[in-house]
Amino acid sequence: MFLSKVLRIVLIFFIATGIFLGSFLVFYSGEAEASSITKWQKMLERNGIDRTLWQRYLPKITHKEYNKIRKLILSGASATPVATPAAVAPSLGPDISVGLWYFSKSDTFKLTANKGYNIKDKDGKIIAQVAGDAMTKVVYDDNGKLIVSGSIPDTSVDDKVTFDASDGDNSSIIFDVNKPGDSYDHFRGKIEVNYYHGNDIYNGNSSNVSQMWVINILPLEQYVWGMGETTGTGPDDHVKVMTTIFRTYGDWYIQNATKYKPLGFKIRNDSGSQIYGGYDWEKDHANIRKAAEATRGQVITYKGDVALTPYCSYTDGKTRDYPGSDYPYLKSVKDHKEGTKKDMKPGDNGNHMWGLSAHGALGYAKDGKSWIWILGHYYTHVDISGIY
Amino acid sequence: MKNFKWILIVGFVLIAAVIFGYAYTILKDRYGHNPSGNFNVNRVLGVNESNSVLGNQNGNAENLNQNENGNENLNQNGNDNTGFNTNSSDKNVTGKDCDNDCSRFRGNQENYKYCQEVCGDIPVSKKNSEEDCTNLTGLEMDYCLRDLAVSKQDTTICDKISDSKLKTTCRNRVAEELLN
Repeated sequence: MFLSKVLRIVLIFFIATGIFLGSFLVFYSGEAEASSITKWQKMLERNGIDRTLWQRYLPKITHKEYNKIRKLILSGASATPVATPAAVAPSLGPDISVGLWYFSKSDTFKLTANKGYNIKDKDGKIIAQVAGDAMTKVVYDDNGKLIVSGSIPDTSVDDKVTFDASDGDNSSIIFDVNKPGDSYDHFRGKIEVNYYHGNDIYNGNSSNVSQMWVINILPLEQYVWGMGETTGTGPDDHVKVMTTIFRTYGDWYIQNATKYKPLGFKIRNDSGSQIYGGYDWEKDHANIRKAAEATRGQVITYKGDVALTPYCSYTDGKTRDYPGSDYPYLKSVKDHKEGTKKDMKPGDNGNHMWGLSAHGALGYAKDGKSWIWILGHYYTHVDISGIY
Repeated sequence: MKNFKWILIVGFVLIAAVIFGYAYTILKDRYGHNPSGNFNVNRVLGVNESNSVLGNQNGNAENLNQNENGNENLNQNGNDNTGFNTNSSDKNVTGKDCDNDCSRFRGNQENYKYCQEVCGDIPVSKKNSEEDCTNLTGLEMDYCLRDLAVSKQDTTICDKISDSKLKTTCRNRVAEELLN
């Protein structure tokens, strides 16, 4: 009698607990299902992929579905929101900021564009929208401030002013930045003027300087189109080699460079990083853009990370191991005879002899080697992967 | 009968434990800390999979595994054994933080400085020898070793840095110098 009473109590307790936990599970499983964001969904969100491309796979995006979306994007769908399917355009990649040159307190910076442009302050607030042919001037004022004038009445701004397309389409705007003594002074994308005061990082000395930096910010692909390191006149595979290296080099700087951050940019436009001529160079050397489009988004990676891809003009017959063990793919390899100058020593004329020899690569391309083979020859055990 | 009762109770406890365990994981996923952003890679779309055209000779399986684990890397904190007076999640500097001038850390002077050092906001100061760093400890020593490595353009000095993020910044910064 006693035992059956105990059993009854246990049974009732079981049923009550079951009802409680069952309701709890139904409620929270439903909630959790709705909010169960998988790591694949997080990757899509973090990469800014248009939600309309993956919404149908919700509530739970699997690895398989992630790969489907990825393939869709690689096949040409835009990763960013678009108005209509007809407006889908290939991605031009992440933005890179390029330091063009700096001017001093006594100089005046002048700028026009091929279409209407915004003048924005350091917080991104639009100060004015002006016609493309209206010339805007920037001079140093005082206490780290700049004065914007010309196209608008004199306006004092903080230490940074930005110019971009007033119609929102920065992919087709071209600025004329009127660089003194330089005919390569047209640039795609955005232009910034950034005041810097501090150690002379750019010239590598500890004296205090004040510099007004002119900076070009544009998508990585358009940056590659304007690379001044080559004329693009060699075999197609050689130009593809070079554009892939330029893109990889730029991407490595986007992700890892810090040296010029206080100045407001990631990479220099001269041989201190890699030579960038902008739109004028792009116009005069159409093969570079052609090869860049043929290899769009392809970068050299090592174990999933973008590789550091130094390159030089010549070697003495072999490239050199890069110091340390951080970049195991930068191993000494034999160079092609076309890239070989027997009397050259590492360091001569900036030829560090790490990574790829540009003239050696040209020799291999003339021999009929493919761009993929050439990259695999100079950079050991790497992959070539599409990042957009 | 007594044994039966105990079997029932143990069974109940086990079932309840399993159910609570399941519920806990759901709640943890829902309300738990979910750091966002990544210091190094914040946009690469699974770079090492089917679109790879060269083929890593070290083995694709390894690469795929690395890639799939990419997201987990987001949560990695540096080596916190540096005498830094805060918990590790406070130090999780992301690429977004670097883009935002470390504004998230402005309330804590030490964290703010750490973020600025990782992001490269503070220019490297010239150092002549390791003796310049000998009297320092913790992160101050790491900052000093990073400056020395850059000044000497010697990546092996970076290996002596304790904090993993500063070590990475150091290696990348030396590479910038060597390629300049």
